[in-house]
Amino acid sequence: MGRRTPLFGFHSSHGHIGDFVGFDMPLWYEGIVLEVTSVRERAGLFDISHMGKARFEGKEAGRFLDHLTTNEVSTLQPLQARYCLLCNEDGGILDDVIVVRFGEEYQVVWNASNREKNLKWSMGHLKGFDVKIEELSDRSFMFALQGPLAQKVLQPLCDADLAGLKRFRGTWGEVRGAECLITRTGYTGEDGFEIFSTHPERAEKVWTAMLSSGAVPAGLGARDVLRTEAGFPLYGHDINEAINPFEARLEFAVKLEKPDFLGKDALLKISKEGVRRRRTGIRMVDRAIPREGFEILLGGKEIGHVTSGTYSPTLKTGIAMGYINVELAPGTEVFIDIRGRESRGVVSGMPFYDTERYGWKRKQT
Amino acid sequence: MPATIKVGDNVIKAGLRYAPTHEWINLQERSPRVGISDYAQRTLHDLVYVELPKVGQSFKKGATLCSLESIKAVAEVYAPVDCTVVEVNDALSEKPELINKDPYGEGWLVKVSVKGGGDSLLTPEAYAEVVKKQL
Repeated sequence: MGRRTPLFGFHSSHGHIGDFVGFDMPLWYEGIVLEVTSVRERAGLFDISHMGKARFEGKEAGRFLDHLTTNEVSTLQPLQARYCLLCNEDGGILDDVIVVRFGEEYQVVWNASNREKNLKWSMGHLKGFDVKIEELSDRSFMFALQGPLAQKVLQPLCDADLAGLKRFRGTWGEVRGAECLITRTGYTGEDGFEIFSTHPERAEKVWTAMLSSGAVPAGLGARDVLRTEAGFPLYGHDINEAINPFEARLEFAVKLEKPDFLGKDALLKISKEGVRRRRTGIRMVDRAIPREGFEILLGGKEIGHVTSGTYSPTLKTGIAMGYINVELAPGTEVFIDIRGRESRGVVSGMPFYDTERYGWKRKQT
Repeated sequence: MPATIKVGDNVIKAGLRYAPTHEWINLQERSPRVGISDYAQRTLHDLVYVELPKVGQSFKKGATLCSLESIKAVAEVYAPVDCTVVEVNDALSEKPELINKDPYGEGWLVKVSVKGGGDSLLTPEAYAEVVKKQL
């Protein structure tokens, strides 16, 4: 038996359960395609309580997180969130995380697969900082409500003003008796919220209320497809300790002008010397679905491997991301070796979808 | 005899013969249709591409007849008998979801002429036992 979230009862009676990094999680309820479409067109609800959550408290919490992560943390405003990376001394990515500032306290959300590793890494660098770290992962719930109708679904259920909440900002609000931190963040490319609470006993009430208000329950299968369509990397697949932020095109989250942070020397050197491979999107032209590990070919030569691939219900074609050792313009023809057959695709920017039609920047219709 | 057997949510249609690898064949037809069972389509889920064989191709029982691709995985369909393909379900290239919606009807894969190897196929009752063990 794997680890379970407070919502396991709902998942097992309504969904198809599978293992995800040691957790018994819903892979889908009604179907992956339907759930992806629901998020792109209306609103879907994900249980992401398996993710790691830790609170960093103390006078020097901001300074410590500036040291621990590649992005700027102490410049955050209260209830502002930011995407940050944890890197090792070689500049390799240990994890990608979201940091939210409360006041002098910060909450860090990291990948479920890295819960223990990150906690150990953080504890190991505490020396000299007046900071306390508290793990909240198993004493809380966290949902992601995603899609163009997310605000319409959540607003009637909570006392906070969501219309005034900007992207990567948060607010406290009460939902069905549970005090929640609601941030306008997510992992699908769509508008939406992540809802966190330290009242796991209320999880099912909050969940059910959002379903009644119009959200479709969505599993990790849809979540993986949606994040791939949006061009977001997944730890353990598209990023890991052998890959640096410049290779992963995540340099926007690296602030080399910060006085000091873990991995800075290595990253400075990498930024000067450049990298030999970069994470690149490929959209299939042939009817074939690229999968992790498949070879990417240019002119018959291998130029890299797929790190994530799926069928995209939004584009109705296969899509992939992978590391290739040449910089190719969007539209350049490449091939992917799909079980012995060279299938044709083109280099694509990410997100893969048309951002005027899909995603949080879409034009209102 | 009931028209179907249910094992959990899985429907097993009467009147067909089954392979333990979850294919069905309708031996009551002149050119028997072959497809995959309800259990198989539920397990694969959300099919998006189907690669069918060509008419005239012959297969030994147990050989890969075609492959089905869902969002999450690729699965091979094995020939339930020694056979030659006489017709393929062209509708599937545009609508592979027919296999998910109607695995025993519109979601059929190929029609074959049987050359042998039908003796060890399972009755619906015997196949129901196979499915039970999977749950």
